[in-house]
Amino acid sequence: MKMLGIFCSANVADNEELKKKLKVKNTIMFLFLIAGISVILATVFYEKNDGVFKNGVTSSFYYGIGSGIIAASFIMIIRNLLIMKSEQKLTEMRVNITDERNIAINYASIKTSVAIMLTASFIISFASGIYTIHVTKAIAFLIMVFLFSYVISYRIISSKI
Amino acid sequence: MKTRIYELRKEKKITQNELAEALSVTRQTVISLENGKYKASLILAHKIAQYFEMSIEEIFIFENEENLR
Repeated sequence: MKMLGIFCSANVADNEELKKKLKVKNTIMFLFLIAGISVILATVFYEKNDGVFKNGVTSSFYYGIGSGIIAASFIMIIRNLLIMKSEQKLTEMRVNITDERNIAINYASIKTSVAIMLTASFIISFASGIYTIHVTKAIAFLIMVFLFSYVISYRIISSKI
Repeated sequence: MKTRIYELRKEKKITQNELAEALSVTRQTVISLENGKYKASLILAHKIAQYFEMSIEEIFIFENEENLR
């Protein structure tokens, strides 16, 4: 079973249109690659000049994030380039991302995951309040951003369809 | 809702893969449509009807509560 990625469904009519989408995606991935390299370079810089980064834990955290972004974006760029070279792979991908059942599964899975994430966030937010109020505030802020963006996007989309 | 896709496919002697390719969907979608686990959208139902050269009502059998009367 081929699983469709969270933001991978698309409305493309033919392979040429998909190629264009993949080119745009690769440009975005290239920007991510640059962002990853920037994180690594900034960490190297701060490690030498800032006390917080000298403890090792903080710098390791940012090295991990930076190298993760670099690796993921690099893999995605290579994968997209390989797909763009083969008509068969392009067709396979197009069918997979435009298949309406796959899209329906994708939406239902996102809905379930959001419900689980919100429930977990509420629980963690309440529990963390005992130890530190900062985590509670941060999670509460994220939940507010989510609910606010839902209302805004709902209104925008409902005016379009 | 029931469908006659399996029956019509067998009559036409085509595989699930061939039907999936003609409809630009995955084989799994054809399987799910045949066993009634997934309900096709209007566009897909129209494509299926065009493929078998029949009307939508001839392929998709709507149950009592799905009809107006």
